[in-house]
Amino acid sequence: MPSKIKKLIAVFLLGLLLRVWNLSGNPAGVYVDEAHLGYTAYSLLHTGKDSYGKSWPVMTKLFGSYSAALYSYMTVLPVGLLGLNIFTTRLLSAVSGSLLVLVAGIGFGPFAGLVVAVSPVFVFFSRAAFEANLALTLLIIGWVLFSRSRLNLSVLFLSLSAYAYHAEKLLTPVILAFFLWHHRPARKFVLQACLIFILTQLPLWIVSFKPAVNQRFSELAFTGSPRVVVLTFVRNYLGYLSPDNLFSRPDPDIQRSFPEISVFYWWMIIPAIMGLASKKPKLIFLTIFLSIIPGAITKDYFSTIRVLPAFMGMAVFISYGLKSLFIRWPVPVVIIIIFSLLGLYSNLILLKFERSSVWGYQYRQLAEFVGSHPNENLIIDNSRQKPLLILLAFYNRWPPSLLQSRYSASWLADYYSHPEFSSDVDIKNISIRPIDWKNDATRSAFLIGDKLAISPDQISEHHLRSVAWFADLAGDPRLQILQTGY
Amino acid sequence: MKYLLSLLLIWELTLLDLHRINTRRNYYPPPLARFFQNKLSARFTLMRQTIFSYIRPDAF
Repeated sequence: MPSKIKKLIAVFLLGLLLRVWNLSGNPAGVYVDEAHLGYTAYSLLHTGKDSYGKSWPVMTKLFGSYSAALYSYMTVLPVGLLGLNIFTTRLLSAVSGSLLVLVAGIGFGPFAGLVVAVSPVFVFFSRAAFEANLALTLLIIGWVLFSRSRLNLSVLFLSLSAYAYHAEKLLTPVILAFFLWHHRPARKFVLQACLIFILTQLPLWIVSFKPAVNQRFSELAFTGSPRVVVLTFVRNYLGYLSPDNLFSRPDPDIQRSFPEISVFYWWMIIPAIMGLASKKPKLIFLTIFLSIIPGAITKDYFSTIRVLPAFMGMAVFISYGLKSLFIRWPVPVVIIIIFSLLGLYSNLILLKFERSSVWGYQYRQLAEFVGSHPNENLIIDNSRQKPLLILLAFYNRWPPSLLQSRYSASWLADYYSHPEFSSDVDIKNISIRPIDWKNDATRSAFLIGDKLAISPDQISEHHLRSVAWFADLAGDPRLQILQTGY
Repeated sequence: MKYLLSLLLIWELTLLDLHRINTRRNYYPPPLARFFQNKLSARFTLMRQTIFSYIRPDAF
């Protein structure tokens, strides 16, 4: 077996191990967006409709916005084979993250595969159901196929990536235009590629031009005077190139980062500088600079999920520098990678315990309680966690028809025009809404909420009986269940 | 100078939230807890954050 293939297999197995080890238990719990993706797959499998009742949607309604549907469609297979659970919901992301290691190794060399396999940002986004991770893999597959002159297939993968995540909708046409510009003498091919791209993108474009679909973007984009807009854009843009953000500080969103490591390991700044100084492939630079734009036009200061293709470009530069370092000092490089993997292990432990409440571990226990009390009145306060219904439906595998029955045919006829979201729900024996003390405390019911929703004074004033506390994995109590005295 | 730096390092190593380190040790399998959660590793993380905070092109 050639040595390059052996190296590729080794980095792929390392990447696979880091992504699938304890996949369902770490991060602990399931985030609402993940529950939405998994449950939509479950719903499509059993009814051919999403949880709102829309048949085979191009995009699915995600609470107050619309999200790309490809992840859910591709999750139908694992959910169909192994049932709806955390593992099957996350499996596609873990597999696509592992494939990315292989594709990076094939396209940019085994060192690129190694950097992608061990870098915190790629490991993190492969360990939970993130559509952005699937979109990144499809985009890079398209890129590598292009470099191997499999042009039509390349266009198909680029087009698919736009169906997987919003940022790729903006990025793929520009990358494709760059590809085609290089092939402009071959007119027949350019026309064919354009035709394939337009035909495959048409359903997505038709839906994307509906104002409600772009509601989320309107919420995220910053506004102000032209001076403020330009300055904010420049500051945000530079934030994505800041060594502090790339090599030291984690993503400020604690649901999208490890507790103590950044996008890359701190020492990777050295091979990154070496790589940038040694080679200057135009397309990688272009990808980095373009990929940052979807992140820089939003209010969030540094949102790693929106700029994953830029990090892929940076990983390629790091791999160039790492290869040079390895040729000169192989032993120190191996030692520092081993120490980095120990740091990653440590952060996986911290992620599991310290972020379990962020990932909704307590709602898993709540769903079990709800499942075991089908006849009692349950009132769940939703002041801190708005889309609670999807978590209960996910964990208890409620029949999709139960959720679909909440929407009328006229509402569905105008499916892509409903950005509104109401988190207050009455379903089965459950009311999900803020507690109404005047009425709820004077009838037979279980009141469920956190410490802010139900205070010790309210417990004593209404003579409530404590039934259970649901704690997160760090041992901090998060949800309390109380029974009224009626 | 080197004595001053050594003293500074020793002083820096004492500036830690020992309660936090002690709590975090409970998350790890017992034989690994001391290896991953100790003053040196915690201090190293803080030092890394301080040094990198000087390299921020967006801080204007």
